[in-house]
Amino acid sequence: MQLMISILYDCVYHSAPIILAVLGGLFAYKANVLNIALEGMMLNGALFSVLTYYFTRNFAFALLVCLLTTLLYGLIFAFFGVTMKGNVIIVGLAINMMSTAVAGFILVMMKSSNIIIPEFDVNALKLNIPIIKDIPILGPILSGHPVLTYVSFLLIFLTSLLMYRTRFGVYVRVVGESEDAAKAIGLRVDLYKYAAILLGAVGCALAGMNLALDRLGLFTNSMVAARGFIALAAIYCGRGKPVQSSLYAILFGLSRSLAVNLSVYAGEASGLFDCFPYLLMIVVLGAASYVKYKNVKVRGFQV
Amino acid sequence: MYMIQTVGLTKRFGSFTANDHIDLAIPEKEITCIVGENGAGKTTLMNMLYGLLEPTEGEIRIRGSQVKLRSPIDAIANGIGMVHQHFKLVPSLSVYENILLGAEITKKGGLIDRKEEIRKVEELIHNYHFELNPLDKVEDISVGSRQRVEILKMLYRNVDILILDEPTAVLTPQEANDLIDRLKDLKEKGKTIIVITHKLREVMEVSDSVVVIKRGKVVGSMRTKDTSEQELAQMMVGRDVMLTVENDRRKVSDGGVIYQAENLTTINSFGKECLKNVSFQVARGEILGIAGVEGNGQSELVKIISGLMEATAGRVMFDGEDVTNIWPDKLRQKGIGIIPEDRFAQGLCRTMTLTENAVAGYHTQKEVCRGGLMNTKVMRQRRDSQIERFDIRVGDLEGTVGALSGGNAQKIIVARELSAGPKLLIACQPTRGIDIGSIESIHRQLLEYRNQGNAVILISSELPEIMSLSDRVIVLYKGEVTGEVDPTKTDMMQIGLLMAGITDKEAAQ
Repeated sequence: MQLMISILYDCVYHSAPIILAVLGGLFAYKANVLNIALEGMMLNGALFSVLTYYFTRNFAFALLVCLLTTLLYGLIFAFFGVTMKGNVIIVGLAINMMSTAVAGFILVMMKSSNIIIPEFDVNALKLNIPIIKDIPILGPILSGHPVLTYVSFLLIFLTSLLMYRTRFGVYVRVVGESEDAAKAIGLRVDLYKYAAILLGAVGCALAGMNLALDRLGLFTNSMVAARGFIALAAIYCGRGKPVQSSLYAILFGLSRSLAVNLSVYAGEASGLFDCFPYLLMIVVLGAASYVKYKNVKVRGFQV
Repeated sequence: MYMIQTVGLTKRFGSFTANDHIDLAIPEKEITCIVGENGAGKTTLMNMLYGLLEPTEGEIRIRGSQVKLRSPIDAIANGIGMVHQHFKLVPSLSVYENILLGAEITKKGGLIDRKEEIRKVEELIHNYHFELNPLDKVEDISVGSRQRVEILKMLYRNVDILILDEPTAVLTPQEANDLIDRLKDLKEKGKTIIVITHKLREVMEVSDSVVVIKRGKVVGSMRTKDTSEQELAQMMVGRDVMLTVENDRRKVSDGGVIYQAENLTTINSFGKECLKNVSFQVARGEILGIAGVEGNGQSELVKIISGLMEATAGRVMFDGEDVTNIWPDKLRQKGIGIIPEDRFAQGLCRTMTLTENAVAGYHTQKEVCRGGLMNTKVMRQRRDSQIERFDIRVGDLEGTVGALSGGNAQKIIVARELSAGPKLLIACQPTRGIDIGSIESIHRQLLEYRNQGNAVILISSELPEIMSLSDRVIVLYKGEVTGEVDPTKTDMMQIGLLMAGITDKEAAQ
C-alpha cells in the first residue's frame, strides 16, 4: 500500500515538469512549428532559476530571470526559424547545444559540477492543502507538492480554454492548419508563430524551475534528461490537444515514478529501470504512428 | 459611375511582366467578367485589387478615389471581397467559425460567444437564401457548399464588390447554374461583381460586360450583348480556334476488352471507404471517360490504377494478366502509359533536365541503362525525337523541365508515355491549367492514339473535354459509379445529375 501511494505521489511529482513543457510546447505544434528546442529551453529554465536563487535568495526574482532568459531563447528560435525561415530542426538543435554549453560554462566558472543551494529546505516549499491532505490515500498523493506542480495541473484547463474558446487560440490553430486561410483574412501569420513559440518558452521556463529549484534546490547539466523530447512526444501523441497531451505527459511521469520506486528492489539491475520512460516513449510513439498511418493506402511520398 | 478603376496598373516579377498597364473600369451594380487564357495575368490583376500583391506601377481607384491596398484587410475595409479559386477555409473548423474567422464575437472577458456567432450566421444564411448548416464542419461539406461559405464570409463583412476567381471550375453544371442565379440575385441586391473565368458559355450567361486579357494586356472590353463566344475565344488566343475538337468516333476495331477493373475499393487515411466497388471495362480502340466533381474518388481511382495507391479489395486485369496493386514501373513494362494527375508532383522532376525526364519511368529499360550506367546518347535521341514529333517548344535543350511552360511540360509527359508504345494510356487531367494551343495538340494526340486501335482511360474534371473525346463515359459520385452514358446521346445536364449522385431511377420517381 505504502509503495502504491509512493508510486502515485511520485507520478504527480514527475509529471508536473513534463506537463508544463507540454502545455507550452503544444502552441507551437498547433501553429505548425516543430519546436525541438523544448529540451534546451527547459535546461535554461532550470539553470537560471537555481543560479538566480543561489545569489539572491529571492523566488520572485528567480522566476523573473528564468522567464526572461528562456524567452530570449524563444526569440532566437522564432527569429531564425520563422522570420529568417531557417530549418527549425537545425535552429532547435543549435539552441539545445547552446543552452548546454552556457550551463557548462557557468558551472566551470563556479568551479563545481553542480549548483547546490546551501541550507535549502525542499520540504518547506511543499504546500499541504487543507481538507484534501486528510483524505485517506488520496491525501498523501495529491497534497504536499510544490506550488508549480499544482499550477501545472490547473494550467491544463486554462490552456484548453485559451486554445478553444478565445480568438488567440483559434488564430493559432488556423495559422497551423491553413496559412492561406489566415493570410486571406489578414492575420499576421508570423506574429502568431512567434507568440506560440514564446508561450512554449514560458512553459519550459516553468518546467525547468519546477524540476530544479522547486523540487531539488540544485542544478546539474544533465538533469533535464530528455524530458523536453518526452514532452514533444506527448504533444505529438496527444495531437496538441491540451488534455490528451497532458495525459500522455502523466503516462511518462508514471513510468518515471515506477522506474524510481521499483529500482529500489532491483539491486544491481536498478540502473536498467532508468531506461523505462525512454523505452515507453519509443513504444508509445511507434503505436501512435501505427494508428495514424495504418489506413494510408497511398504509396511512397504522399501521406 | 465606376466602382473600380485601374489606371496603368502594372505588375512585374523580375523581368517578367504579368500585368502591363491595365486600364479597367468596372461599372457599379453590374457583373463584369474578366476572361483570358491560363497564365494571361487575370489572377495577378485580382490579387492586386485584393491587396495580396503590390502593384509595381499604376493606381487603383475605388468609387473614384485613389487607394493603396496593402493587405486583404485594407481591401475588405474598402468594400472588396474575394472568393479564391482554391478556397481559403479551415477544414477542421465549422461553417460558422469559418464565416466569422477574423471577426469573432466575444463576450466580456475575451471568450468567444458561440451562441451569438451561430445566431448571426443563421441570420446571414437566411437573408441571402443560402442552403447551409452553420454547425457542419467544412471538411464534411461539398465543394459547392464550401464556395457558399466563402461567399458568405465576404458578405458578412459587408463588402459591396465581390471578386470570384474561376468560381465554376469545381462545380457540377447544376451547381454552376445555381451559382449564376445567386450572383444575379446579389447584383439585384446592389453588389458589384467581378468574375474571372475562361469558360465562355458562362460569360455570355452571367455578365453585363466583359474584359479580355491576353499576355498581361487588355485586348478587348465590351458589353456582353455585343459579342459572341467565338469572338471572345478569338481575342483570347489571338487566332481562330476550334471550340471543340473534331472526333469522328469511327469504330476503329472491335478488338475486345483489354482492361478490366472489378470492384475496386479503397479507404482514405481516416479509414473511410472513398472508393466502393468500382468496375469498368475498356476495349481496344476506345476512350473511356471518367467524369465527376473533384473529390469524388477519381483521384484515388487513378492512383490505384496507376500503381500509386493500394486497393483494399477488387481486381484489375490487363491483357489477360492480373495487375492489381503492382507498382508503376511494372505497369509501364506491361504496356500501360501513365499521365498522372499532378504533372510536377508525379509526372516530372522539375529540377532535372529534359533529357532525364524524357526517360523517367522507363529508365530500367536495357537500352537506357546498362550495368547501372545511363546511356546519355540514347536518352538524348529519345528527347529529340519526342520534342520533334510532339512539337514541344523548348528554350534550352539541356535545360531543366522547370523552365518550361505548363503546356510544354505536359507535352513532355504525353510524348514520353506515347513514344513508349503502350497498349493502354491512363490520362488524368491531361490538359489542366495549360494554354489552348497545347490543349488542342494533346487532344489530337489522344484521338490519333485511339484511332490506331489503342485504349485510353481519360479522367478529367473538365466536362467538355470528357464529352468531346470519350466514346463512353462513366460518372463517379462519392466513390461509386452512378452511371454510364454515351456522350453522343446525352447532354451536360444529364451527366450533371449523375455527378450530383442522382441516378435515372431516382430522377424517374
